Amino acid sequence: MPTAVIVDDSPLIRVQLRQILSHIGVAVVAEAPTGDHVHALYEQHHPDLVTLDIVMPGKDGVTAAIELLRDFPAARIVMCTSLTTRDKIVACQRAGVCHYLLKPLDAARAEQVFQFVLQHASMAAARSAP
Amino acid sequence: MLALPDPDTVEDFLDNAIGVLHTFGITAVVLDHTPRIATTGPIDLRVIGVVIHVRGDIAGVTWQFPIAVTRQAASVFAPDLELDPGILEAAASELANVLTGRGLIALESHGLEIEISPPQITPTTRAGVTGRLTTELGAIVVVFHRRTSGR
Repeated sequence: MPTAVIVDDSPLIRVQLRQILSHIGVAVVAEAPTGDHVHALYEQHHPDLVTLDIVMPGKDGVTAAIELLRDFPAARIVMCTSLTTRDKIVACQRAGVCHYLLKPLDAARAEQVFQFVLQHASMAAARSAP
Repeated sequence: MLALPDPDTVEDFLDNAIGVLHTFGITAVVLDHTPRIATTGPIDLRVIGVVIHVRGDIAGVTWQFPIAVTRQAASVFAPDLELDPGILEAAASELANVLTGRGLIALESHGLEIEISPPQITPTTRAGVTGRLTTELGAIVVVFHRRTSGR
C-alpha cells in the first residue's frame, strides 16, 4: 500500500486530505502542522507522497520542499495551497515539486493528481530497479 | 507603496472571494461598491473574526464570518466531523486563509505586494478599509489594515 505524509497547519485540511488519500488506498503514516518536521518525517517513513501547504507557522512549505528535494531528490511532493501568485508557483516548479493543488481542494481532482503522481513514482522505481 | 487598497482593488479582491465562496456552496454578492472606513473595535460575538498578518504594503486582513458561513465551510472541508466550536474556528481560519490566498492575485494586479502569515482567531478588528459581501447565510466583512510605519 502506498504511503503519504501530510503537512498542513489546518486540522480540517489534514482531515480532508486523509479522507481523499484513504479513498484511493493510500496510508497516511504521519502528519505535521509545520514544515519544520518534514525532513525528519521523510527520513523516518520514506513515504511515496508528501503533501505540503505553503503558509504555515515555522518553516514555510516552499522552503521545506526545496530542502527535502535537495536531500531526497526522489521525494514526490504535491503542494496543497491557496496561493496563486506567480512567485510561489515558480519557486515550487524550480524546487522540483510534482504538482500544485489549489485550495479549496476538489476531492475528485486531488485523487486524480495523487494517483498520477504515485503511478509515476512506481514507474520510476521500477525503471531504477536492478 | 504604503497605502490601503483603492475601491477597484477591493472590488477585484471581493470578486475573487465570490468565486471561492461559490465552491463552498455559498452565493455572495458585493454589498458596498464604495468601501467604508472601519474603526478599531470588538467583533460581534455572532461572527468569528480571523486576522491574517501580512508582510508588505498593508499590515493585515481581518475577516468576519457569520457562524452559519463557517458551519457551511466546515461541512465542505470535513463533512463527517461534529461541528464543535473548535472545528468552526478551524473552518473560519482556513476559509480566511483560502479567501486571502486566492485574493492575493487581485492585490498584486493593482500593485500591492504582500506575503501572508497563518490565520489567527481574533476578537477585535483594527481600523482600515472595509469590503462587504452579502450571502444567504449573513454578511461577510473583510478589513484591510493600514501599515502604521515602514515595512
